[in-house]
Amino acid sequence: MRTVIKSSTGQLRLNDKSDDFYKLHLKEGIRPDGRMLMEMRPMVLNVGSISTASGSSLVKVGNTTVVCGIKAELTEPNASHPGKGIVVPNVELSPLCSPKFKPGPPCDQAQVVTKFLDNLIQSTNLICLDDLCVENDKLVWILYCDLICIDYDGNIVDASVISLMAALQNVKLPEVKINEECESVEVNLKCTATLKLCSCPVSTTFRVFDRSNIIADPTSMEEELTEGQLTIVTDQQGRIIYMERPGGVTLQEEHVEKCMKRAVIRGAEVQTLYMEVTG
Amino acid sequence: MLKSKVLMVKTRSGKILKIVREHYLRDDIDNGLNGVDLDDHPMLENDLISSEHYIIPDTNVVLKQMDVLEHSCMRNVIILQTVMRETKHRSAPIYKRLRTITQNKDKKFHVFTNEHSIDTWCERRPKESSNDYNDRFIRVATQFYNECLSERNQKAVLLTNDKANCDLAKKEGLLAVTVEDYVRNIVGFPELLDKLAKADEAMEVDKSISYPEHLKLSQLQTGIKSGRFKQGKLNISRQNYLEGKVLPQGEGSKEILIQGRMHLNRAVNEDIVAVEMLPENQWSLPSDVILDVSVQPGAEISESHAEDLKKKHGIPTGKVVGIIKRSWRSYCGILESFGSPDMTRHLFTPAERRIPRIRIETRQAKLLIGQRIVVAIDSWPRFSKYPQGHFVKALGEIGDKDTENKVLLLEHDVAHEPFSQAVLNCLPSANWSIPDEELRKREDLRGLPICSVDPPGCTDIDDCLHLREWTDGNLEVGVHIADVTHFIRPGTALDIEARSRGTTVYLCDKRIDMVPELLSSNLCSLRDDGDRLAFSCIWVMNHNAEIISTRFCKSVIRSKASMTYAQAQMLIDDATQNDDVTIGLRGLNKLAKILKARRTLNGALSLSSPEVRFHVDSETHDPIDLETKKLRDTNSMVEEFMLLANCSVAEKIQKEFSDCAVLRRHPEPPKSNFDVLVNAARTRGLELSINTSRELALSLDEAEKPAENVHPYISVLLRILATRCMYQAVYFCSGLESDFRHYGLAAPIYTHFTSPIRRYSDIMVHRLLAASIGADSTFSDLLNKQEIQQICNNLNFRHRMAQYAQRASVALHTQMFFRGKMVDEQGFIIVVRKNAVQVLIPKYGLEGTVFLDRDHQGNAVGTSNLEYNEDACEIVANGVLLKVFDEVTVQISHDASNIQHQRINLHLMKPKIEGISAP
Amino acid sequence: MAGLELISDQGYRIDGRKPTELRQIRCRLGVFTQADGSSYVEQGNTKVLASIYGPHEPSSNMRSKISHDKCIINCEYSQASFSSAERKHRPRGDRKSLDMAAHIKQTFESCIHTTLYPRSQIDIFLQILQSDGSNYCACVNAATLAIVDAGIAMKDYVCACSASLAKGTTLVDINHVEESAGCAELSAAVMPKLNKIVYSELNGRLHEDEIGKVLDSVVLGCNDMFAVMERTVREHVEETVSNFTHS
Repeated sequence: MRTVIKSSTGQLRLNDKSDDFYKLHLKEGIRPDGRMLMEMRPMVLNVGSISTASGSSLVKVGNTTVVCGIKAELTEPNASHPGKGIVVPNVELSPLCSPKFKPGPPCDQAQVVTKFLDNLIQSTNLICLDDLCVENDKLVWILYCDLICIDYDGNIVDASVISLMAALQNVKLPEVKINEECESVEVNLKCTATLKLCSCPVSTTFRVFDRSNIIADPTSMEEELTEGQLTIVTDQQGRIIYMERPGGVTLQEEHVEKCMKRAVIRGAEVQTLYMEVTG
Repeated sequence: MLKSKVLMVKTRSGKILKIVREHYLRDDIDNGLNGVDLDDHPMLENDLISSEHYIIPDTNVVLKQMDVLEHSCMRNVIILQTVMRETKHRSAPIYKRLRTITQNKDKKFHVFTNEHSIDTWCERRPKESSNDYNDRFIRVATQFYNECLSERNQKAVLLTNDKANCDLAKKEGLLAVTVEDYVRNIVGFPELLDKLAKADEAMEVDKSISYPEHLKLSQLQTGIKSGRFKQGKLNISRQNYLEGKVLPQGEGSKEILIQGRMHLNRAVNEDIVAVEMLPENQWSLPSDVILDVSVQPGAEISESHAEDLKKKHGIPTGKVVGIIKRSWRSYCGILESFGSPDMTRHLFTPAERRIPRIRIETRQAKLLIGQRIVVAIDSWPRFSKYPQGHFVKALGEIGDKDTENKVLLLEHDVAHEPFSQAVLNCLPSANWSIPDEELRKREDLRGLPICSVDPPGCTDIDDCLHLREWTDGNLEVGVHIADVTHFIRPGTALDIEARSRGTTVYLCDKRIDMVPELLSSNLCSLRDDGDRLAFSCIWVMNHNAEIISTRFCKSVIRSKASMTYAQAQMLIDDATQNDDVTIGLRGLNKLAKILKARRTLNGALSLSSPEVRFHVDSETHDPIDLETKKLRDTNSMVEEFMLLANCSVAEKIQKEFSDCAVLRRHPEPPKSNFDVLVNAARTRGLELSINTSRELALSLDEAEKPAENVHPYISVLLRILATRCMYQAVYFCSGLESDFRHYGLAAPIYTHFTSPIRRYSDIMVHRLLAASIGADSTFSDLLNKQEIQQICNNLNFRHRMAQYAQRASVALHTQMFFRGKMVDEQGFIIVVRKNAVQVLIPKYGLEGTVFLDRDHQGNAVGTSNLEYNEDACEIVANGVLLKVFDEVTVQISHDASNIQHQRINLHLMKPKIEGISAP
Repeated sequence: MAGLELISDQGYRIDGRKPTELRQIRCRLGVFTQADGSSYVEQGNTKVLASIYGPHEPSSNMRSKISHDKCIINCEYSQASFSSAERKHRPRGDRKSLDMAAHIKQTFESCIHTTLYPRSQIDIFLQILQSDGSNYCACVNAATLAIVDAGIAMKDYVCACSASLAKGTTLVDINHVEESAGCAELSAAVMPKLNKIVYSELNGRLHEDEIGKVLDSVVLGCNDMFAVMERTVREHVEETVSNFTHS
């Protein structure tokens, strides 16, 4: 059954993926693009392509493509944390990546993902912020992580996390010392060190369809049809370090457990991918 | 193929930036072996190398052994891009010389762009230092050349003094030789060995002296930033070669005094040094003893004298802790005849008194003693009293006029070689005449009563004047200047050479032209023998010399008469002459007087310098007699209109091109500069007021009025002293400066327009003026502010050097004039110092020092019987009082005891002082 | 970088190119799935992504500008914060970006057959991932390829190139170092087959004698660019067709 629908942005599209159509697929335990319910899309990862940034990465999860660039600068630390460096993530969802997004200030979804990354960094102690400190109370590194989505096909969260991690592993910072005598900053540009990361998280996102079906790694079309989302983050040792459930439809306990198990397996797969790429 | 160069750079604000640059590798880079740039069969033979070979020097060889490379026998040399890049980074003057040789097709030097060639590219290894990386580049390139040359049975030789590099090269199978070995084994050119700059190790150690070590550059920079050290240029005092002053950078800094050999710590005049201040109790005063190296070579400031100085309240004193930038160049001078001429190590004494003596090694000592030679400094190690250098070339016999002239010109950096072929090619043919289209484009002023007034013997006539009365009672006055820019087009070789020379230099017997003679004395010169192209400035004024309107145009003129000042004066005074040229001259004379009075009222200063002209024997070219310049009415007349023209043009170009006009300004000197003048005047009861130039001009005029006790010549002396208080006038670009005033002329805006034949600044002003009236096309650099300011800086430098050269030439001729003579003459004391007085002899325009601490034989007599009163400008010697402006009689004689600095000796005859005056 | 010679005595530029050579160019069409037409262009180290959406019904905020006989073109230009050596705080909406977007909009308004798509809107989105000089030119080239990919009708390809003048020689395809050296820079967008100049911009001061020379080299550069772009499009079409026939 093919109909023409008008989406929220005013676009006209062929709607050969209506609700019923989808349910038919799910009954057979398969999705329109041929995947099983808990199957993830293939991933492509590339680091260091943007030479002007201190560290960069490009991730494709299926069709969703995210580029992350990290710029490192020196600045004075926050008064509340004089010995810690600062990491500032920022996710951009521009009209370039999908007709869903309108030009102008960052939309709600972008802000939510940004906050998610921020929380992730703080709570999981991703980077030892003490390492980023050059001189207590005087000079610290600040890392600006800018993630730009250039092709949006669902599951921006997972792609962002992977791209951020890969970019951080690619960052090289020069050695900095403060010369007491003349109060100037001495930078040894020949001596660069990679960042030390205390943990290497991987996130997996699930969505709930019709209150009972859980699908992993949703595409953009699937995101529109489903309600409720669950994101689980695991680290390299297979422990669950972060979980986010932003409201929506209720979930039953056994579903949550199923998701957790799947997330752990997924975590391991992605870790091997990291290892391969970053060497 | 594309590679990436990634560098991390720190900006001034402290940010760290990652800069990424593309770097392309090509396979089509010319290696020069096709016979065009390099010879097919290099001729230079060397005992160390069996086959024909090409030379590849590394960076240190280029930096230190430039004189060897410039020698004519060194051909077929390949300079790598890496070496060019490093040389540019480390030394700008050597880079300039390197570029000159590489651009000279005859030298057969080829520059190979090895960093972009796919055959010679190397990737930087991790943790490899830049020096090692560059060395590896050079070795790889040498290897590449070896491979290219192997089929021709020729070799590429790496010249390097770096032992590590040499060893690595030999390991890779390359021929690597040190410069010494190479030069020593060259067949057929033994003189090359003298040109070798010495490596630091082979030094003569003076047991007597050990200078403190210089601090490293990084330590100096840290110190300067923290304020512990101050940076500035060292100026050695002309009176005392062991004393100098450093003016630190930054507003409001005071000069720091550096005294004594140890504190100078191997700094040479004009080096940029880092100075550490001494504690206040060690502050000293500039020595008011005149320490003369030629009379007292090797002398030091005596201990007691040094103590004396310290007792008084001293000025900030310091010591040199490190050298930031050396400003060594080639120096002219002579070889001291020490020991036997068979020894190879000799001491060289430079002509410039402020440079210390230099130790050189040469085999040709026998030949060179008695000649003027040129030497360059290589280094100054800690344990050597004198710096080490090497011989560059010989100029000719000492005392020979041509040689001395050459020395003069070299020391003042005046270009005096004949014009190159490229320059001469820009000239039109000698029988050039005005083409018809030019006649049509210009205003035809050939009917006007135009004439020119110049010094006798002048062939480069820049300017002409005319005056006509109109029927409505107003006067039309015109100044016509030679249209040089019609012949010198921008960007041509002729233009570039003129720009670099900057000005014509007038020595007593020679004139070093800025533009070739064909232009200066013939085509551009406004002679009275036909039609000439000119650039005219025409005013309409009333009889009170007030300008009603001004206009400028390019014109064709025909001068009716080229007169000397004397001839013009005679015409004006002769009542029987009434042709239109003479009437014009009279009118101009009247207007000029009005203009001058107006200028003086506004504060223009008329200052004096004791100018003297030599009559030169036409056979021997030796000076016969001196003639002081007399100022006639006509001199003043021409001067007034030139000034007026310059002012009018300045206003016009400033209006049209407000941010890139070439102007001239004269900064107002600080009041402290006048202290000596005011003190001196006060001793004769004359109060000079110096608040504004107007007050100064008026008080100098007041001083001319006859009064008791005041010799009439004193007013002239006061003017001469006033001239010495002034700053130099300088050229500048109007967009980069806000103060346009000319203090000396009391003009709000001024430029040079009237002498394009002998000054390049006038050529620039001509171009701007022509563009503003639409008479000539513009060109891209006309409006480039930075370029203009750079040219102005060069012109200021050349102008200064020309003045010094001219003065030196006059001194040279004065000496030659007094050879073998002994004359008594009247003079006036112009400056009083602690151990001497300086006397000015008006008849010869000569100024010299009469030492009061030695007798007339030159033996030291001691200063115990000298009482010096600085404020009163007087000194009592053996009971006789000598005050400033006193009239004295001196005996002038020529002293050839020091060959290099032959001098005029002045001995006091009247007033007679026991033990000092000549009998 | 005082004293940086833009062109050495041997005739090579800082990065080793000859004055008339363009940088290494890589382009791909059809890189994104969401957009109707997309492309990725690399000119040396300048990397640009272009996405085209349209023609589609005008979005709500553009409704006021609907035209009954032609389509409206909306262009947005954004430069990633990490694209240049110093971090850019405002990726979009700042003066320069708005300026650039307006220029590109004007360029394409004259090239696209707007009369074929009345009452609709075409969006051009440009994202600079790495910036190393000649941003405008790379954007125009990327946008052209994306429009071709989207199947929107154009009068001709639009190719853009920049040139500058140093020591009397024209340098084509300026990179960032040459841009900041302070010489005058001329950028132009040209329709090669029709031989028409669509847009040109001069920064700095050029003497009237020299401008002819510089303009000529820019046009030559654009023609070279056209050759590369056309080849890319042909290869893309061949690939697509072969995929089609095989599957």
